[in-house]
Amino acid sequence: MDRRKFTKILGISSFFLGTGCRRPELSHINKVKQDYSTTYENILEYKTNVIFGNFPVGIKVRTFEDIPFHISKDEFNTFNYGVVPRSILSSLYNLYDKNRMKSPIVNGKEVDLPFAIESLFNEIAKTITNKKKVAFFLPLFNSPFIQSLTNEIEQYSDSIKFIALPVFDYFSSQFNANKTVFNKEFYALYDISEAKIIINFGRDFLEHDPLFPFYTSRYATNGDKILITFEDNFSLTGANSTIRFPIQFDSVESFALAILKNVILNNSKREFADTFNLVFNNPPLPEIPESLIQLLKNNLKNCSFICNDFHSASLQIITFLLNLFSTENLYGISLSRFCFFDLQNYRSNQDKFLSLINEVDRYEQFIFLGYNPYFSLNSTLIDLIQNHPGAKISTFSLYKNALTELSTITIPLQHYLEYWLDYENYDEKICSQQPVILPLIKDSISLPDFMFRLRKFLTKSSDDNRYDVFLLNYYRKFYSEKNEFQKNIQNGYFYSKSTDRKKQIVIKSSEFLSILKFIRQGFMKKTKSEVQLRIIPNQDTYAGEYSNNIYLYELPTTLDGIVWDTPLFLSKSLAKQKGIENEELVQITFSKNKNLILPCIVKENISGNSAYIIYRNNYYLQKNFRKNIFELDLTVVGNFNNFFVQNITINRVGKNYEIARLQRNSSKIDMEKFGIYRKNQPQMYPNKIQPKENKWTMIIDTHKCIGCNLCILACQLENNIPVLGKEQIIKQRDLFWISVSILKMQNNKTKFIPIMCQHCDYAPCESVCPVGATSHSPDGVNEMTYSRCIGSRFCMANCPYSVRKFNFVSAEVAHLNFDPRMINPFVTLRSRGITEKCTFCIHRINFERGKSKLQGFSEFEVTTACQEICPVSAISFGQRKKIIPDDNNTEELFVLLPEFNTIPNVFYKLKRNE
Amino acid sequence: MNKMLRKTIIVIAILLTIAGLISGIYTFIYGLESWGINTKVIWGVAIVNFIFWIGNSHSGTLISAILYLFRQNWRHPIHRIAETMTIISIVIAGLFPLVHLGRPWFFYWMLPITNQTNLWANFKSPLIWDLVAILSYIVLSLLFWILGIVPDIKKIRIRNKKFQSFASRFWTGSLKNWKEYIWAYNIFAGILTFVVISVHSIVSLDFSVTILPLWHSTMLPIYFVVGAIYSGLALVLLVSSFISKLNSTSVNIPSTSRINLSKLILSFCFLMMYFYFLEFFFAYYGQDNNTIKILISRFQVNYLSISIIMVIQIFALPLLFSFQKIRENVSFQIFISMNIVIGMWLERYLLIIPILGKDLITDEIIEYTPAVVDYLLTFGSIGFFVLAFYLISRIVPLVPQSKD
Repeated sequence: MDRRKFTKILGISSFFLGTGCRRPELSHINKVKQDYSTTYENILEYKTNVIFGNFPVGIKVRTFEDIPFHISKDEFNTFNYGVVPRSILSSLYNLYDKNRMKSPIVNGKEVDLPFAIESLFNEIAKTITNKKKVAFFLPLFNSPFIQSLTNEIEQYSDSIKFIALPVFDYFSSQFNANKTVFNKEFYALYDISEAKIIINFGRDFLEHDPLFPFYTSRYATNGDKILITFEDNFSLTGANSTIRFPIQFDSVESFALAILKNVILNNSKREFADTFNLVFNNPPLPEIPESLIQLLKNNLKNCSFICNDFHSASLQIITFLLNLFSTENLYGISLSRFCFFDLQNYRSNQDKFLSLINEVDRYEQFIFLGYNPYFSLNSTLIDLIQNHPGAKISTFSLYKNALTELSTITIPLQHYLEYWLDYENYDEKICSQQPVILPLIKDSISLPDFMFRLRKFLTKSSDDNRYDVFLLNYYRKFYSEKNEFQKNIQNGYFYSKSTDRKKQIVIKSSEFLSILKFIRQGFMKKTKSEVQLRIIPNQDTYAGEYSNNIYLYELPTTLDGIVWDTPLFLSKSLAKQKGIENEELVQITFSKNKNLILPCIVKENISGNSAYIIYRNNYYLQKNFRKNIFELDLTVVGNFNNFFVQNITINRVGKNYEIARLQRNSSKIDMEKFGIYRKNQPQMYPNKIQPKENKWTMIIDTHKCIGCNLCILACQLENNIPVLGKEQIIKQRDLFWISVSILKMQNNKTKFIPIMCQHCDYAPCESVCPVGATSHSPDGVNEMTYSRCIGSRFCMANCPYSVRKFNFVSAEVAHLNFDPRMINPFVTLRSRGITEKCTFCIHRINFERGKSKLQGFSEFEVTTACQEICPVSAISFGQRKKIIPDDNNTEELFVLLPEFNTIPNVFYKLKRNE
Repeated sequence: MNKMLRKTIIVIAILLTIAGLISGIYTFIYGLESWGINTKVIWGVAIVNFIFWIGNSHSGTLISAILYLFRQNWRHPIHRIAETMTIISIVIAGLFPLVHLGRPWFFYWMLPITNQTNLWANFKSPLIWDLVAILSYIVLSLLFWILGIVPDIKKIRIRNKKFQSFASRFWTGSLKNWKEYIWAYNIFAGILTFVVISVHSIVSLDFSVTILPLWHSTMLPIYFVVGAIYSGLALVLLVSSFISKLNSTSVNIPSTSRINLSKLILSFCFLMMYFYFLEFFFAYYGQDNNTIKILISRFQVNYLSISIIMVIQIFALPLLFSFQKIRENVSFQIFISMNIVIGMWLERYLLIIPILGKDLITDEIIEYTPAVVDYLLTFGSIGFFVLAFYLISRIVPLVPQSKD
């Protein structure tokens, strides 16, 4: 080698050395400096209300550049106090749904809206001239504006009837009982917020309940409550109970009566006791544990009683009496325990419906304004319209369904975020529903708009106003100040009538006898039925058509982790008797030719020969989504009273059926997996530890958590986690960032453990990533750089908590029915082949940080999506110094898997001996 | 008959290779969706194959380098077979981690190449060590293989005149040639002895650096090396005895080599047994709940049959080599060594899948079933191995014809 060659090689190699061997840096991912000022201006927040069941639920809608992208809770509404049902939380999906009806259909042809409305009006006019009648069916809710329009139209013409029916009739049992016993028409909402002991007769008020927002918000107040539940199924409420009695559905009343007996004998005047013994001298009542009797005796004033609305009239009256006796004033009702809801509206509509059945031949037009008998399992109405010769059906609906197939005129309805309306709350506050976006579907119409146009057509008024201007003028007369409208829109409610809510119900000892007799008569007849099947309407169904939502189908049930399917739950003894095994197809025979085949799940904790279905209308879902799931058409059952079916048989079909489950969401954790949080953790590399005060920390209070799974859904919506479909879940490829497991406990009460990324100080995932895609931020957040990830999945293998998820397909492709408007603009959509996990809502942290900088503050607070939505405020999040101010007082704080010494920043509040 | 058999094998190998290639391309295009892995068992058959082939590549170096240093002359007839296997195996092994990446087109981000944002590979990650180790092993073993062919360079069946004239000038077989050759061979053998031990130790660090129970163990590197050599020796025996059974090469492999290989396999079988039971002993002695549960789970419903087959294949059957008549029987050699190779694959499967499948929080075990693509990739790799071996044997004489 000559000199020149040598220098050449030397030069080249030193060049490579110089460029290649720079000091390796790991945490050098430059933070992009975002100009937040424009972002903040483009984010607007609206308060609005939406009907859930029969009451308005208050929500906040966030829009970015005038496109709504996020729904969260708002605490102004006295009905829900910030508890948002999951169907409402995810209802943006329905707004942007591609499967929504796009144009009106008249006689099988797509037409535009004015033509469809005109042809409908012509039909109505023709019917009126023929001296036939028109029936309008709409969902039952108290809207003064709709009410006034209804009255006006009905006064104008005798041949038009508006019949408002509840989605599921949970009023009737209590309503009829109250009417007979007290001669008053009301529905009592028992306020449990101040109670310390709640005795619950079969009501699943924490999950599948029309009044879920009402009861859950009240359950969460005033600290620890003792919950005692008598139930046949194993519900979330039962799981949350301190004491749970698994009993048959038809023996709930007798247990309630036994409790009533004890209360009367121990705590009331003698004359009541004598009357009680007079009426119930014979029937042996079931024995109640001594401890419960003592508890009632000593703390009766702190007790509240609630019962299942779908149960018999007797139970309703017993519960009412128990609440009455537990109040301070025996002869009147303390208002803290009761909220009366006037049901005049309900009564009048029921009367109208009965009269319609009686003179059905006189009706020609049946117009469904958002009410669907197939959805509500109203088989009376289904039979009526199917067997009525010459019935003309018109439908207003968000989606195509069984009813629209029968109708001649079909008109798309607007989403609740697209139009104005008002609702009257149970406490007579008027809540407003305001639009946050212009109607996305041009040829759609809202319910009040249609009613307004109908009124205009019938009265032939020359009023040129639009309905919303009319609505505003309608309310203007109530305003005292000029800009009160603005103020009320900001508050979310219009005005409060200053009516006297103090309704007194007094029971005299002479009346008591007749009440007890009513109870005795109304007892459920005990049949020796082989199987007692109960149909429990899913919480989601109360949101009406908004339950047609794939997010809700993919949300796992807390106790079983089931997604997509709607199985039959069977008690163990019944399954043993019939030889039925778990995840097998069974056939339920209701009567001749009325069969239903569905998969079953055999479960412990269900009493005797009970079985139940948590019903949701999955035949309502679009075909492409339900190809893998079992169709559950309960309309075959026919009429059933109070969703309780007896005299049926259950048999094996002999086929297995795979039900998709999310493994983590139903599995149990040992207490030994938790270790106490030590302030001075032994540290191998003391210099590397993050400054303590700065760290973002999350504390999950397991005493509070009720396992509603709303955090999973909120996280999914916030962080653009796709809905994958049943196939992917069966393969265990879910992408949820939070899972809710159950803590194994010695006593019966169930505790729920939400598990997300623990943001460890010594994160095992960080050291093994070959490209440094996951790193630690200075404020203690375990960050994930999506664009740097190459998908070696080493981080997932090395995470002892298994909280990292892998995108097998890119989010846009994997997401069923993907719509870009649905996504949160502040969170990246993940592409194929990369890992993801909980980020502690880092976009929110950055957002707030930028905002506080703009405003000149150094400190700021952040709420994560899961924390924001939690109905019981079980999650708290913040910087370490704020959230654990006193490091010595941390005996209740536990960390998961302490043996790995990862030093997590998520803490669980627990008690040691659980 | 033999010709017929040979043709069938080659046709099957070609078909398998094509199937494996197609499934590899399919994975590249459509992502890992087609694999059997799930959120919990996130490394599947691909990683099992990776370790399996890396392991197989070890015997080549052992036979040619380590046994050479110990002057074991019986290694001479089989050393080129072993080295050829090494090269093919290491190439196959290197492909699997690439295919297994979520975004394989960015694999070069693991290399220490600077870019404008100063992003750098994470040298703490064992995957980087892996990459370096495997790359250096590929280069070194390729060079060593070429070096081993040098004395037979004239016998290489390349009909290129330039190559032939180059070969005749390059290697004359003179004493000077041989002196230089042996000198180079000694040095290479010395280097490779260290490399071969380190490569599989580093591969094992992929697992022992993690904090998962059972993997997080200092025993793993030596266990891996022993296992690798064990399966590699079995593969060499399988190939060499298969060749002598077919009698297709002009030069026979002397039975002494194969008998000695069998003896070596027997001793490594005992070593494996020791480490296998040491694993259980550590779990018992350490009383770590998680480790015990995972070890027990190997003998529970999902993995019970695999475990039993594995134990028979790698611990019971090789003991038959204690008998001289079986050691000398070619059919038995083929049968047992094939069982060992399969058993060692299952051993790797049991090392990886049950641990990943166990949820450390809920103690549940998530099942894993390989998908069609997984199977195709696995059998495709076997097909490619056979095909590549055959093609190389057409060019290079597998049994050295010159004596050193």
